[in-house]
Amino acid sequence: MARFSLGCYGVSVREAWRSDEPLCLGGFSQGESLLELFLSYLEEREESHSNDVDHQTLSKVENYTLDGSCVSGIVEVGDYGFTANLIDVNRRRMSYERKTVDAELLPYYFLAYLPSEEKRGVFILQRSSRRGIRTRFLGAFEEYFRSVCPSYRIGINPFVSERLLDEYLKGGRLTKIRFLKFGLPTDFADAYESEGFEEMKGNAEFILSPERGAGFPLMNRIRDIALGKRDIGAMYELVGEEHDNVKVEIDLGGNLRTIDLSDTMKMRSYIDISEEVRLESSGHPKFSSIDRISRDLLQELLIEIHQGNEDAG
Amino acid sequence: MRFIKEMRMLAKINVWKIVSDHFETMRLYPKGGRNVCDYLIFGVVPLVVGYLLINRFGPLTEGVSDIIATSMSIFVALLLNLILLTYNITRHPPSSMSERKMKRRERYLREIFSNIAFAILVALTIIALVLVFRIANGMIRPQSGLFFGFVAYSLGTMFFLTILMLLKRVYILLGKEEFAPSR
Repeated sequence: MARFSLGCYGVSVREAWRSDEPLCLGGFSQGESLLELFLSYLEEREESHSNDVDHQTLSKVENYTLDGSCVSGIVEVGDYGFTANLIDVNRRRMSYERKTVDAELLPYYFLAYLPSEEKRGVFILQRSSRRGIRTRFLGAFEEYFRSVCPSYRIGINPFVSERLLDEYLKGGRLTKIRFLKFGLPTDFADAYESEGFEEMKGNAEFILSPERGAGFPLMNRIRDIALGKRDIGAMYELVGEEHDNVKVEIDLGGNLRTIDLSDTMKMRSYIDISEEVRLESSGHPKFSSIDRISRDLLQELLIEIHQGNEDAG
Repeated sequence: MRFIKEMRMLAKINVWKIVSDHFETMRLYPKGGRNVCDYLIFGVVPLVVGYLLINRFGPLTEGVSDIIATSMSIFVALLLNLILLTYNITRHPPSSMSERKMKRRERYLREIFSNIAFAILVALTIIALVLVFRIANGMIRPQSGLFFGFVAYSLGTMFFLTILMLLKRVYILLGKEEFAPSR
């Protein structure tokens, strides 16, 4: 059965070549707001299929609706460049032989919250099984933005919220903590001292495997580090010396996921909505259902964003 | 043939293996290459220090040679004790240790043995040198005091650096063994 989830991304705009505070999402680039730019982008994509030859991706916006600062809709995205045999599972016969120029367009839900008076917006994108549209849809929007507003740069990054993190860590079992040192010690005495290091591709890695049941307090520590409430040094306390990087492996229902604690923005966390979303007869999520779930999620994220702004202020 | 026979007679006092094994312990880990810095530290620095000390304090004197001989003698005795201590450690490996860790430990202990033996050898050489100087003083040219002083100071510096290296290794060894305080 296909699994559906939602990926959340924060979006901000800054002046190019400067790393100041982000700008308000409205009123830059000849008075246009980011929402208006995004609507222009959607308009272009709705007229005809867009072919990204470099990534061999075809896409088209099917529909979208605007509701204040929020726009949601469906975009069809598909890859091409490879062949496949499509088999009828009942008759066990080939029903179609896919060619390299055939693109399988699948519908994906998207929601964009881009208030002009705020400095941060939110994108929520549907994922189906392990496939998403972050690169194929938002990546293309980033390029569009750069071409229209060369004096500004847009940043779209995974949104690490407490709820997302709890979803990620909930039910997960900590299997390994890997402490990495880049480069092996050249003195054998130093290498002997760091017993447990395994030489892997020129780097030294010390692996800690917590016992079953001992992972819970460590998960709290990992959670705090991922949210920026504690420094990564809190992990070094476990082994008594600093390292260059720490990665943790978590078993989530048989799937091993690795979190790089030095760069939690790379952590991918998706809200699984497979149980609550209603499906069409086509097997894809019903728009009204996924739209409602996404808007509820957006409200939760906005509370966290505003809370974060208050704490920073 | 006679030369070979003579060399065999010297086999019992042939300490070349101690020297070569000691310098083998300085190979880079894990690939085994050589580090230019080691040549500088253990080769060039002693020569430079020896030269500077001769320049500053002049040739070796009887008083200084007595101090050097006494301190080196004490060090030899202490290092012999250290060899016995290290040997004792080899006889009592930690109870739960994988074969791979056991081999690393054995290698590490062998290297420490080599370093201690080399340090003793250097100390004995210094003692022999200053004894020769002391006994033969008056029968040799005054400039020889410069030569003996330079060699003694250089070997003394090399000895000091070797002791530093040994100190670090023994510290790590004792820290890893079971009876050491835990982290």
